[in-house]
This record gives sequence, structure tokens and C-alpha cells, in this order.
Amino acid sequence: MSQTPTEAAARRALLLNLSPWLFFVGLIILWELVCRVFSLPNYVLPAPTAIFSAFFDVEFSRWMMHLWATLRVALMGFALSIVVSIPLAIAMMRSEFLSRTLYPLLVVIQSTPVVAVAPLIIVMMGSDDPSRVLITCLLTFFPLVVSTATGINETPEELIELSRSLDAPTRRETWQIRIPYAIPHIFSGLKVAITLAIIGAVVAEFVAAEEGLGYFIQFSTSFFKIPQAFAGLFFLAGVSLLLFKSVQWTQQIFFAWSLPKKK
Amino acid sequence: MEHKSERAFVRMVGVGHRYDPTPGSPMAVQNIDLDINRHEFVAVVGPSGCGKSTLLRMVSGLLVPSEGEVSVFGKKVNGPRDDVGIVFQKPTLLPWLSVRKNVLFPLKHKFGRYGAQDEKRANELLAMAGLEAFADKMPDELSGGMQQRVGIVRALLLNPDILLMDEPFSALDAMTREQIGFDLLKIWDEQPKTVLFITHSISEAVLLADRVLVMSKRPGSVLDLIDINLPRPRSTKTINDPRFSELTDRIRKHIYEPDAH
Amino acid sequence: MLKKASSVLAMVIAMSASGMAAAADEVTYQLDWLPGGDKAPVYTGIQQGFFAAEDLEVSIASGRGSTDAITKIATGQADIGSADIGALMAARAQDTVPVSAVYMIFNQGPHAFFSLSDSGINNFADIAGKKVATSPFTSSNAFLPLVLQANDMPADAVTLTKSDPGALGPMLVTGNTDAIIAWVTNIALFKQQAASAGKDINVIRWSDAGLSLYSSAVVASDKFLSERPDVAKRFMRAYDKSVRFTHENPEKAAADLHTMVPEVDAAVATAQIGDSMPLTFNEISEADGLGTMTPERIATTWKWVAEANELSVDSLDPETIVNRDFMPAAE
Repeated sequence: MSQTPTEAAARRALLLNLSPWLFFVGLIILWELVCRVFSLPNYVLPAPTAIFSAFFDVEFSRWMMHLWATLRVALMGFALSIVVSIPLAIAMMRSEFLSRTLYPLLVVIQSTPVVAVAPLIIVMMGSDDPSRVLITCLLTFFPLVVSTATGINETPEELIELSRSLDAPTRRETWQIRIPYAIPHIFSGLKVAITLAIIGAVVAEFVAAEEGLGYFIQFSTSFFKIPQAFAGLFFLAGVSLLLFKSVQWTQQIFFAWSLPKKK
Repeated sequence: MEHKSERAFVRMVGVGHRYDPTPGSPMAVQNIDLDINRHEFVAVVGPSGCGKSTLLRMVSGLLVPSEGEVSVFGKKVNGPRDDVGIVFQKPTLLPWLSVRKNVLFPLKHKFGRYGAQDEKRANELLAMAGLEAFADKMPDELSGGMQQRVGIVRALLLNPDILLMDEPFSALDAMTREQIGFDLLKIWDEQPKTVLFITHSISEAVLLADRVLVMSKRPGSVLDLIDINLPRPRSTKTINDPRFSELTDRIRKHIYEPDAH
Repeated sequence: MLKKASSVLAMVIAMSASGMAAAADEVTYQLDWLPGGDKAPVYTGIQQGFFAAEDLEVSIASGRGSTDAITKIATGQADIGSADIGALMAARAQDTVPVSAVYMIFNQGPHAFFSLSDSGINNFADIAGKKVATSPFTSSNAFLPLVLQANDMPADAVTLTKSDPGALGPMLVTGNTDAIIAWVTNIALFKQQAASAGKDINVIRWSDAGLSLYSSAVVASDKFLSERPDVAKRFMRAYDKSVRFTHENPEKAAADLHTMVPEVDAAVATAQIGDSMPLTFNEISEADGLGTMTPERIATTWKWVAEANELSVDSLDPETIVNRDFMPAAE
């Protein structure tokens, strides 16, 4: 074993980077084997190859149409919840009255199953994008409010004293100290929220939609096209992962300082 | 006590404070009478929780005493004042700003902007602290000692008359700590300030200060006010001076045997 | 000045009114479930131009069950659609819902037991003491005790387990259950699933076992019927034509559906049409006329529905939910 330490380290790093993929591929192979060895029918558990071919049986343009429908709602809901949550968290941090009044309400909203509320929203607001966006927003805004509020409250007391000793306006205390300090927390919240946004869009599609990946999965199931439903599910999971990664990349590119230090 | 002049720069008369405003509730500090001269370096030592930080906050105006009065150059302190620079125990730099921008932060924060002149001053201050090579680095690329030096430079930016330091070196290792202490004295020499320096370390207090205020345990009051008549400039040699150990022993007695005198 | 402004306004209104008259009338049709062969008529009506011929522009919204469809029609999100008449009766008995039935699509209930051909369960009496799986929210569940009692069996004659609709077929094929409760509109899908395991399926229709009732109907909001009666009449005329066309040309209707909803397989849709048309065209429609709702059968339906939903028979005069003014004239 005449490896230099750097070579060994490089190999280790490579393995660490590849391991999720290797694990995933291994899992797929195992899955395929189980399906073949026990000759499981598609309606019990479709084999990966069956799912794969079901994926290509659906026209690309249809996939794009369903993808766009889901992505549109998820991203609009996500954006709306950012626009609502962050100012709300700041307002709640500024005013004890607001935080005492609103917190219980937020907890009630959060603990109400969105699946139960979704049909009511559709009845009240119609079965178009706005209601689906609202359903998505309901699911995503709570983790954002909580993480932003936590971040804002974790600003070191010394910096607040520094700000006060400079006799700076509160506005600048909020924008130059508290909000930047909350950024690592806000990003944790955003990572949770983006995956919830996809779930929210799918829940909304289950209740009322004519297109979208959630609708597509429901539709496939109703026709007992289980491999096709699985294909939709995997596609959805892929989209969800990509969105999650995009949030991570955004943090890495624009807010590198907010990432936990390595070593 | 030749330091007691008519024109004391910072004057505390009968100062006391309780955090719970109910009358009869325990005091954090009480009966503090202290005059500090312009450009004098005063260190404060005392057991944990004796109200050293409370004292410091009352000078900065972040805290208004419930008894007595604090005045700076004859004017009563009744709110945050911008002629003080504060250095905290932790560097508390803003991790999203470069070292230079951290130094400029007080201006940006107070006025919303700064000019080329200000940047020049920041660069000069950084150079004085031996940090010019690190001006464009991010805080987390610096060692703890360097970060704390940035904290001191930041406190000097607005050229305050008073520098308030709240256990500024207590998070550093012993060697860094000694070095940064001498660095501080060098800066103080170049840019004379009235310094109120809080510390847990008796030797640090004696090594740096003109006078050391020894406080009793809670409620904090003045146990002793000791002139440190060691020659300046101070250096590692100062520690070998027999008066150094005399002075530290005297303070140590107050702290460990408070009833002995 | 004001006069001038108001005359301009009047002109604009007049212009837009004339513009509207020129365009086709818009109608939103609400399905009670996702698109499928059993919903083919409205799709084929659009593709074959039957609605356009009546100067109508029809858009279709999918639904998630009869209650969902009725709610959406009642709240004005859709004008007209399909829903189970039993669900409408139950809703009207408990609340004022401004929706009425105008046309009968299925004059028989679609409820049935499905069993494997080799299971020995071949007619209704064989079900006694067997394990039966059903989905949790199907309206069939409420009728089960009634149809069992009508066949001289106790209400708990079968061991009932509830399971996701998608799991019912696999459960039946793998022998996890002796029979399942499903709708005859899906016979082809279940047969296809069973065939992939080399099995075949028996269908035991509850309509043959005494459960005599109407089910899926065209229902419309009262607002639509009272404010745009002419549009409603034209719609029903075209719809009736579409139903007949679907019956006579199942492949074409399935192809039309596939054109509008590519996810629906034309072959599967053809089979679904084949399964569901007997609920529309049968001896009842022969005797009473296509789409007709007779007072007698409406009353019988209500009796079953009231009992199944544990409602008093007096809580609703079932005739009040029916509006026969929009029945297309028999050709």
C-alpha cells in the first residue's frame, strides 16, 4: 500500500461524493431483482424498468405541461410565503403585542391539516391557480416565520447594544444587523419550505386541477397504471430535489458566509 | 490621590443601580464615587456578578442609573452617547462583511453611508493594528486575536473620547492575550483615549492600567482604588518589577479575603 | 359633460352586449370524477361539434366525487355537470342546495361485487360469510346493508375491510379478499388487471339483486337554469345527442376523449364506454325514454337513499330536486 496521504484523502472525498449515487443505483438494482425473482405484478410493485418505460410512453410535451403546472403553483406559493412570512416575523419581533396575538393563530393554522382545508379554499376561491397558490402558501409559511423569528432573536445582544450606542434608527438595526443575522436560519426555513411547496401544490391538485404532476399521479392511479404513477412520483421527487438544491446553491453563491464552517 | 482633579473627565457621584425598579429590591451596584481623568486608563476588577458591566453600561448611556449621576465632561449622561467606542468580550464582527467594512460599520449604521475619507481612516487604523493585509478578508478567515483587534479598530473609527472595554481579551488564549494587551497600549499611546477596561485578570489590570478599581461582590461597591505607579511604556519586563507583584498581591487580598482589612 | 360621459358609457355597453351576442355562450361542465370512458359523451359532444352547432362553447372541469361536483355547481364555479342523484337528494334533504337534476345518465346503480371466476362466488347469495374489501368513501358502502337485507341476509353477513381504491384489484387477484365492491363502469380495468395474473372476474350487479335506483344524473345550478334557460335547453339538446352518439360510436367517442385528454388510453376508454352504456341504454330507457326521470323511480331511489343515509323519508319530497323542463324533446 504505497499511497500518499493526499491520494488517499482524494479517494475518500471522491467516494464521499459518489456514495449517494452508488447507494441509489444499488437500491434500484435491488428493487429490479426483487421484482424479477418474485415476479411481482406491476400493480403490486412495478419494476424500475417498467417505470422507466412508462416514463417514455408519456409524451415529453405532456410531462412539460404537467411539470409547468405544478412548478408554477409551487413557486408562486413559495414566493408568496416568503413575502408574507419574513415581514410578519419582523413585525412580530418588533411588537410583543403582535407576537402574542398572532402566534397562537399561526400555531392553529399550522396544526390544521391542509388536506382538510384545501376543499374549503377551492369552494371559496374557485379551482384556479390562486386557490392552489394559497394552499401551498398555507403549508410553507409557518416554518419560514418560525425560522426567521428564531434567527432574528438570536442576534447577539452586543450588536444590539452597539447599534443603540450609535443611536442608529431601528430601521437600520433591522436591516443591517437583525435580518442578515437571521439569514442562516431563513435558509434552513427556505429549504424546508421549498419541499413543502411541492407537497402543497400536489395536495391542491388532488383536490382540484386539470393538469399538474399530482393530478397526473392521481389520474394514473385511477386507471390502475401503477408504473406510470410511479414514473410521475419519481419525476416529482426529482423536481423537488432540484428545487431544494437550487435553494442550497443560492445560499452558496450569494450568502457563502452564512454556511457552517468546514473543518 | 493626585488624580482627583476639579475637571475630571468622567465623574460618578453616588451611583447605584437596580434592574428591578421596585424600591427595596436588590441593588446591582451601589455607592460608586469615581472620577476618571482625560486619557486615563482605568481597569475594573472584581468577582463575577459584581456589576462591572453595569458600571460600563452606565458610562455609555445604555443604562441610566437609578441612583446618583454619571457625567462626562460636566454633562449628565441620560441616554446613549456617540462619543464612546465599545469593545465586547466577543469580537461580534458581522460575518457577512469584510474586515474593512466591519471597521466602517459604525458609520454605515449611524449615517447610512461613508466616504472615501472614511475608508482611508479605516485603512490607517487597520495598519496601526497590523491588519492592513487582512482588510479584504472575511472575519472567519482571521484568528480570534485578530478578530478582537478588528473589534478594537471598529470602536476607534468614530474617534471617540471614551473607550469602554468589557472583558475584551477573556476569550483569547494566554499568549495572544498578553500580546494584544501590549498592542492595545501601543494604540492607546498613538490615539490617547479615556479607557474603562473591565477584566477578570488581576495581572492584566495591573499591567495595563493607570489605576485599578477593585469592586466588592454583589451589590458592587468600591473596595479600593489603586494607583499603578509602574513606569511606561510597559512591557514583559514590567512583570519582573517587584512593585508589580506587590500591587497584584494587594488586589488579590481584596478579592480572596474581602473581610481581611 | 356628465351626459356625454354617460352616453359614451351606454355606447360601450351596447357594443359589448352586441359583441357578446355574436360569441358562443360559454358553459362550464363539471365532472364528478377524473376524465374516463364513462364521461365520454361531453368530450365527444365537443369534438363532434354538437355543442358548437347549438352555439355553445363548453369547457370541462374535473371533480373529486359527487359531493365535490355538487358543491362546485352550487357555488357557481360550474353551470352544469354530472353527479350521483342520491348524493344530491341527501344534500337537499339536509340543506338548501340550489342544484337540480335535469337528465338521467345512469338509470341503474353501478354498484357490484367483483370476484375471481374460480372463487365459487357466482351469484349474490354466495357472498354470505365472505371477506369483502371496499374503498372507504364510495357511496356503495351505505347501500351494502340494504341490499344484503333485501336478499334475506343480515346487514353484517360479510366481513368488510376498507382499503385504498387502487389496492382493491391487487387484493382480489392475490387472494387477500374473496370479493371487492366496485362499479361496473370499471369492469374492463379490473379484468385487465386480473388477466395479467391469468385470472378472470365475475361481476355480481346489485341492480340484479333488487337495488333498483337511479344514479348518475346531469345536474345544474338553479341559477343557470333560471337565468339562461335557453342556453340550458340548447346544452341538453346537444348533450342528449352526444350520449346517443357515444352509444352508437364507442370507438369514435373514445378517440375524441383521448384527443382532449391524452392520458386516457383510447382502448381503455372504449372498454369503459362498453361497460357503462348498459347503465344508460337498457330496458328502463326503452320503456321510459332516454334520460327520463319517472316520479315512481325517483321515489324508489329516494327511499333507498334515505335509508342508506339514515334520513327520514319525510325529510325531502324527492320530486322537488327534479326539473324536467330541460329534457330534450324525444326524436
